[in-house]
Amino acid sequence: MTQIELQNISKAFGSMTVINDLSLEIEDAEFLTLLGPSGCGKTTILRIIGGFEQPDRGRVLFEGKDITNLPAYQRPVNTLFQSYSLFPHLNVYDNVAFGLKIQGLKDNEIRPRVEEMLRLVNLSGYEKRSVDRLSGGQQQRIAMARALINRPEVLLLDEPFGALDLKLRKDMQIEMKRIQQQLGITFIFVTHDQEEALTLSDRIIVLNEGIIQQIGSPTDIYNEPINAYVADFIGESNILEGVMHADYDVTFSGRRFTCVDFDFYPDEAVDVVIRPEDVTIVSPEKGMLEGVVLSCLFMGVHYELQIRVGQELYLVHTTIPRKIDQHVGIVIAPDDIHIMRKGEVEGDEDI
Amino acid sequence: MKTYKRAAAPFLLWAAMFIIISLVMVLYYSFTNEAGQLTLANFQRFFTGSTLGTLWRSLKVAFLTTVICLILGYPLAYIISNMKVNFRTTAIMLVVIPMWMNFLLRTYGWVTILSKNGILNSLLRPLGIAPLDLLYTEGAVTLGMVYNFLPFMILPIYTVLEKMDHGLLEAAADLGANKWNTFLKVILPLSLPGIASGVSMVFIPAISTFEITALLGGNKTNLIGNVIEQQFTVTGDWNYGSAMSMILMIFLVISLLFSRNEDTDNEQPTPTHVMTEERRREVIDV
Repeated sequence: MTQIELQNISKAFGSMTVINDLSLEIEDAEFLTLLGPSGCGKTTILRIIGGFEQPDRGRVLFEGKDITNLPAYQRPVNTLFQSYSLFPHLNVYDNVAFGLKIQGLKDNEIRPRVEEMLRLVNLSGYEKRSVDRLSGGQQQRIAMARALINRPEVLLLDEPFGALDLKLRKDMQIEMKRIQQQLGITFIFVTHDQEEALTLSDRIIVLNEGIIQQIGSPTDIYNEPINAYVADFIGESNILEGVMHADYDVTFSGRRFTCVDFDFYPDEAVDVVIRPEDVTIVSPEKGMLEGVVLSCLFMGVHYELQIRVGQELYLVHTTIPRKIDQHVGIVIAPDDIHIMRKGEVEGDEDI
Repeated sequence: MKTYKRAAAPFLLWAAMFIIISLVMVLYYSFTNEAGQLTLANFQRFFTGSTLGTLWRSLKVAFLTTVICLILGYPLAYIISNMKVNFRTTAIMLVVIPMWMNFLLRTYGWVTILSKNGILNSLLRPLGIAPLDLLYTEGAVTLGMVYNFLPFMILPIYTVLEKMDHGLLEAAADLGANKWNTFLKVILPLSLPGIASGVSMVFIPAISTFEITALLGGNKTNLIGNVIEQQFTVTGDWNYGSAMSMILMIFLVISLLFSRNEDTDNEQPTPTHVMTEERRREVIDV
């Protein structure tokens, strides 16, 4: 069921357009991620939903009702802020209880709910602590408890993991997903970290310059990026200039390949996207293309190779290291060759 | 770092001469009589005489001044802190610029406004309620103090409000607090340090002033500052004057402690300065 609907939202700051005629439907109880580089408008969208920013044009609907002009404090959404914004003059208990005290609930109603929330975020027994004395991860969990105690129907999360170190970030991601599933409410999550987005989301929206590039499940977005921008942003990719001669017939890197894509204009210039892990290295005489190894970096699980093929560089992931200057052959399977129309974005096919 | 420490030496000398030695002298005078004998008579005289009433009135006027300054200053500081940046600077300049003019001159200005044939009375005359006795009243003294000390209330509160993290206000709104609740539960408690320093910066000069009372209170409204001044300039009783200064100082220290508590609430106490042998030698070298 559609819970939040953005209709033709536009927003400019001064002369800079941040969001350009954006429409979007958000389902009930889904984990939706707005993914894009900084300045793509993702935080602005979140702030418009939260009521901290007014769109110049367009409407925000919540369960069918227009909430565009509703002030932030009357909206059934809560936010986990990037900097947590915990109240420094209040201790942990009073921070978490803030929303309920505003609602005018009695102390004996508030206490069990605060305790329940602290249990949910694994910080029972921290009631009396000053928020300054907490670590970054703890502060974030308190901010989470403070936002969730109001039982919002939607939680907005603005790059909440930015300030945490890698290990803690992973732990918090797992915790966040657990909490979302336990409470069964909508999470709208903003990040520039594609890995985080792929791990957590039910649905990802890839944004660039205020325009939706692609909407889809993590696997859709990763396996079937709609254009070179998405492919480049989600994971690492080799993006090559190619020409589509006919259905299933493409030329790039000076060689004709068979692929699985069709329905292009004859001899249309296209972007060819190949994931580094889809390139297989063989001996030079067995390869479809021949190249020279320029570098070989150990990345933990795999080695990352740069291979020069003619004038182009291929990024290749492999578990077997190769020597620098070694001549190798490259094989790419037809269904690992992704052909993309230049500049296509979500919704273009409908027009 | 060492060179900076040496640069502080003249100040140490200054502080020793004009703060510590003078304080010790006041202390000495307050516990002795004219013959130089140790005595508590000065304090006895204070607590049995009419000066106690003057102290009480001084406390009352200073308290009233502080409250009025807070009531006027807080909203003003709040409004200024919410202005656009370039308006903000102008507004703060408007608060500060009158302070560039001589303090006595500014206060004397009120004499011409409030006196029997002054500006205010000549404006009120057509209404048939003039002339009013405005000058040489406790009200005129309070007015003069509020006028002179208001910037000392506005500036520290403004500084705190201006630095306040806007994210906290959004967080409060996010959690369901309307503007009034956000003010009561977030802005006001977080601006307490500013209020505390504003209060002590107004209360301390208000309780010890004698110029404003002299100009706007005439000889009708004597406050503790005037009584102390008279001991030194008219009566020549330095011992009694010193004793009264000591008592006044106790009230000032109390109001300072009040503001210090607020400041250090969220901070670790700073370690007290330990003077090592090496440093001591350095100071002596200079």
